[in-house]
Amino acid sequence: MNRTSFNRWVPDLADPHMAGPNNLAFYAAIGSQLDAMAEKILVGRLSSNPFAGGANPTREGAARLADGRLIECDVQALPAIADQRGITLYPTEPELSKRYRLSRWWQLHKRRGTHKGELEHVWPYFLGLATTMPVIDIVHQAADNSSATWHRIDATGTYSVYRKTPGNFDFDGTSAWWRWFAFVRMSGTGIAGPNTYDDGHTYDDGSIYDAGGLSTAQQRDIAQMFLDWQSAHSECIGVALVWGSSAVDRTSTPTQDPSGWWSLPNGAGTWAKAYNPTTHLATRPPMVQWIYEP
Amino acid sequence: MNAQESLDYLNTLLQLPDAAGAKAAILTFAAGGDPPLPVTDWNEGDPDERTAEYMGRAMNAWGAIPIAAVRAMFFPLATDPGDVDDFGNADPSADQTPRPGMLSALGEGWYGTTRGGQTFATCFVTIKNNGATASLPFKPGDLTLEASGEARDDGGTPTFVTTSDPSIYTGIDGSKTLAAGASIPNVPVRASQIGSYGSVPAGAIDTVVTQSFGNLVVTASTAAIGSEREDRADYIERCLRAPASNAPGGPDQAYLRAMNTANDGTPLQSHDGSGAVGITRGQVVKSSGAIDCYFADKDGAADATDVASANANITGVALGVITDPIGVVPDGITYASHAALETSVDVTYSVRAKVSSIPGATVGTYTTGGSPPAWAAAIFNTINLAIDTLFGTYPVGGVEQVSGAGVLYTDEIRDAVHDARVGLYGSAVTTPATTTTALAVGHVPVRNGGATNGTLVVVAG
Repeated sequence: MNRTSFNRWVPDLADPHMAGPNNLAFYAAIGSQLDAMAEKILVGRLSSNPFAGGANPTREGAARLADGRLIECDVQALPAIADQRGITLYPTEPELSKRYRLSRWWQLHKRRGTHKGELEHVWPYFLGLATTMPVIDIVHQAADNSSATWHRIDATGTYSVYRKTPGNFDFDGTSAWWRWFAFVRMSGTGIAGPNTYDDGHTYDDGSIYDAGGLSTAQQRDIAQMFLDWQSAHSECIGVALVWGSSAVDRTSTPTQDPSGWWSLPNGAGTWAKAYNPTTHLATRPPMVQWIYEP
Repeated sequence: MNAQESLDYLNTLLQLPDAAGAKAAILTFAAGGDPPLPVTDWNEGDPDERTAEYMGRAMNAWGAIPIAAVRAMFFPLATDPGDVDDFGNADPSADQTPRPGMLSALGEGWYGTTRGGQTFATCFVTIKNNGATASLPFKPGDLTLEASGEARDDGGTPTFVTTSDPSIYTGIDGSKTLAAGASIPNVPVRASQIGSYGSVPAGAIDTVVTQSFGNLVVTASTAAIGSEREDRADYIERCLRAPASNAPGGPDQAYLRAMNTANDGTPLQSHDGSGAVGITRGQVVKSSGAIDCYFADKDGAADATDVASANANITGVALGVITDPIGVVPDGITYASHAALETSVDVTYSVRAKVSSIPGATVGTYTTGGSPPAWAAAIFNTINLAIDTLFGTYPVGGVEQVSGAGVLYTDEIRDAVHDARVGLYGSAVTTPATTTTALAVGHVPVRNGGATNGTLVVVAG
């Protein structure tokens, strides 16, 4: 539907002596071509704008034209805009996330290389995917293990820092400020968790079975979004989805479960390997799904 | 949909109108109007047919302006006068003299990045009066000098004109008179021809063309550097890295931005004042919290001056003419910079062409060895340039990198040979004999000129 009505307006301009039916039809044809050109220019202009606002599934609050059309580009233009703004679009990323991140390109680039920036880069992925946005943590620990710093973006998109002293995240006995880990807390997001199993027959003890939850492609994209936004010198050692509501508690200290796994890493022989080669027991907590390790 | 498909969509959506198309659309609308008009029965020249023609022309003329303006919002579709966009459309300006246009406006206004323009070479000369009497008074602009040994492709040589310096031209009306046998050093001159045409080494300006003021000679000259306008693709690449210049957290793009762009968005200048750095490619490699950067230009490894200049800008330590470096390395980070390393690549290829597609050609098989006819030699040279262009823009460390080391695909060499010239087909590459050539961390491919062997098969047709 055209936004303009030159096909009606142009015939209306005709003097009475020029207003025969054939003439009016001819003027309407000229007006129709003007409408087509006006629409082309409008769509072209919209093609440079990726986002009309309203970062919610119904797009409430978004800017719209009189006919209700969003004042933003067609989805086909997003990759070109992304290329121009230095923003990578990920195959499984929801369209709303693509539009939101493209609209925040200056802010994202400004904080690229910081943990806050990494969190802000990944968090929008769940727009339109989760009923409640996830909480995401990034943690790194001082080389002397004197403290662990937990960076968090919460479900409202608010960033905060929590520092635990002494540190509670000694991954493998070689802590360094530039090594970091990310945890996406999926509990409460409305996204169904993956299947769990214990001995292959009974699906109940919280260990992750490789089915359900987010697809492998989604997991790959989420991990890559972290990696793409890190600083050149830092190194991501792991990204995990936390499906249990109380798992990987940033305020706690590491404890070992009688079945062998640790609630948080506690130096060499804990989380660095998925299982203890001596006891053959799992070292990592249930309901935590590793989606990236270098 | 990938970025290229998205651009194809935009290019189609934003096709510039044409008068015939607009007229045809009007007639189509008219034929489908109420009442339908029998426009196909019109005779050319009828008033309504003429009206449709004129309206089509008017819409074309008018519509070209806003559509061109919208196209200019996208780098692949934006041009400065003298440019061609990514889809082969020439800049729409009537005057194609290279100068800032829509592309530069986009880069300046949205990315704070200035396109390097053509500059006149400037330097200083020493002028001596070899005559037995004093010279006549001469003023800035009166003397034309020549670098007679610097022949250019057009057969000419660079010429230079004296420019103003009140400390030299102290005579009446701002003139200078040289006594017999006297010399005056540090006389500023500027090339008459813009761009690299006027670039000459020290001592190259050797002739005073203008002899109207006495027997004047030039006895010494400094080096003169003139620049061509920055390549469109290089400029766009620098623009795209601009957002990273805001990032204090040290992402790799911040290093790549600072390797060839100054703090004010202009091309980074060499610290010794010899012009803009030639660096166009870089690789940022991490290792246990430390950073190694490798820099390359279109010919291969960057030279030492360029590496030092990039290093100064990245670390934020002033050096020479780089007085306001950016500084992108976060505190506490170990950083090192290097010239890229060159991986020499032997290339053996064959390609075919119809004799009708090559002016002056005859059917036969021609090779790079021996003495191919001039038309064949020209094609071999074009193919070499195409391979050099591929290698000169290949990512440092190659593609599909693992821990910074990647590969060069042989098929891309074959494609470069095929695309080097219209009319070539059936290209094949037998060296490298493998699908890929390994490129280690910091390495760029460079064609081995002594081991580039081509065969051109010209067939009838």
